[in-house]
Amino acid sequence: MKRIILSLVLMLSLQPVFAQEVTFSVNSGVNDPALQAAIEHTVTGFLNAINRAYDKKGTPDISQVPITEGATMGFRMLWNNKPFRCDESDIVEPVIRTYDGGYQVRNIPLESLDEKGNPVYKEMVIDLDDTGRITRVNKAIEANLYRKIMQSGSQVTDLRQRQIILNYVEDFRTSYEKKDIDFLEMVFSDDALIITGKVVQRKKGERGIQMKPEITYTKYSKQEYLNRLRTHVFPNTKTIDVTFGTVEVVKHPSIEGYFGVLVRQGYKSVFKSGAIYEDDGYLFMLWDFRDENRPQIHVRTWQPYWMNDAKTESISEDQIININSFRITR
Amino acid sequence: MKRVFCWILSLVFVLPAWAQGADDALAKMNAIKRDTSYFYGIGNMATEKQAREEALLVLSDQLTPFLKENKFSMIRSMEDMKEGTIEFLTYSKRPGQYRVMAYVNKAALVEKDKEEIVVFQDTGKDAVAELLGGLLAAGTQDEVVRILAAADIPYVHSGQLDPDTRQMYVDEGYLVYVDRHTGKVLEIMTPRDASGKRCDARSGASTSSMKYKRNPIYWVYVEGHQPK
Repeated sequence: MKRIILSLVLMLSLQPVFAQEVTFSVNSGVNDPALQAAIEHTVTGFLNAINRAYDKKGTPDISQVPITEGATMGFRMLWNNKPFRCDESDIVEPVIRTYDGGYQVRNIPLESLDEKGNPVYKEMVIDLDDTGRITRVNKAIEANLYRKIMQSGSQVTDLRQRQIILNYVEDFRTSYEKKDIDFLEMVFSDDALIITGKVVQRKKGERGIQMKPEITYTKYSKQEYLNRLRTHVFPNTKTIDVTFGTVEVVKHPSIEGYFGVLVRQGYKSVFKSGAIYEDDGYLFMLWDFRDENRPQIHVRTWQPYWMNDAKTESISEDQIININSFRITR
Repeated sequence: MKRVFCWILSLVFVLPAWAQGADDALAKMNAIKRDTSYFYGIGNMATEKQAREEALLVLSDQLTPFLKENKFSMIRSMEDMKEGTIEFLTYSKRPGQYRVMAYVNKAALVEKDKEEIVVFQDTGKDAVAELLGGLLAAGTQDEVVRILAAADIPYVHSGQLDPDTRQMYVDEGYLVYVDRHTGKVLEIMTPRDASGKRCDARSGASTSSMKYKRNPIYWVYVEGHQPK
């Protein structure tokens, strides 16, 4: 009986172990059959390299995958933060034309494990050039947020602009997971205003009346903020997870090329010591897209969502910083 | 010991069966994605209800250009579709993550009790020959609708029959006669030739629209196309 039980347990434990072979197919979006085949071949090879490395707990061998140096570097940074795998064997997705004449594949399912070993679902976005070579690999923002941004036509009428903003918002989010200080250095303008809010519980008043908690703000310069990330946050952190719950993109009412991006952001980092830091709040960024090749963030603010530890009271809507909170002088 | 044995045994059989069910849903979703006869939308959310709502929104985005293009005047509205035309598939592999696909067959978008004139533009591509070949092979109204709805040819006009459009296209259109009770395609007639005669498009025999009491359901006219 013991032997039978042992074999059953073995059968059970072996089920998820086998490496998942992945096939990626395009169902629309490319008219050139040769390019379609190239994209399918590249993405299939890339995902299988990821899965093999995940199973062997190694580093993906992508030497046979057509991919640019920049994309390789970005991908390695993502992998080093937290390895992941594609846990579906047959993926069918459309290809999207991008604003720069390239191609994009979204919604590629990924699974990684959190610090407790629980599976976490994310999606990947891959950009490719017109030869089917990978030019960018990133964790995608959630498909419903992507749809909302792409539809925000009343605010941002130009589809091209919406695509550019979305790409940079995706890059910005992932830059923390990648610990990509060079990217942050590049996107923050030299005189960027960086503000971080913290909830302060006020002492009881004279008559013992509990005062409402308030948010106090700390202002950083670009270099102060980046130094903090460079010397304190990134080196001491094992993994970082950034999630976006909502994303709102609003065009500046009078200044062409300026956009406000308001995000409900979840942030979780696991320190090398094993300690965990988590926060949940509103991230506002004032982006300047006048130079599309080198967009800049002039303002970045963060405000906590919850006003108390019990999470019963949230920040009031009129307190949330948005594009109208700043007077821009040129 | 027996209890442990039974518990493990059930896990060995139940888990793969559960996984197989999920895999079947995923395989069906992928088959629909590959099939150009469908419009679909997918929602990936924390609850099944949210995922279903998102899938419907995405499907609506896909359908809007099609509905705006108004290929067929008899296209159902999105509200009508929700009553049963739209089907759903659900896939869930891990807690707190649901994928729902809302999908609709293009043929199901069309109400079948109205008469319709569909005017295509002959682009000189194989698509016209494919469309006409497909129509000739269609045995039922469902197949005719599916072929018309999926045709990859620009539409220059479509609408319900009125005296003007009938006058414009009646002589030069293919006439598709359908039995309104059984949905069976009775006959497809070629456009009138120089002598004003029509032929059965399948047999080539001479025929006349006078033998039917009612109008054909579809009047398919391809601008610039010369029937062989």
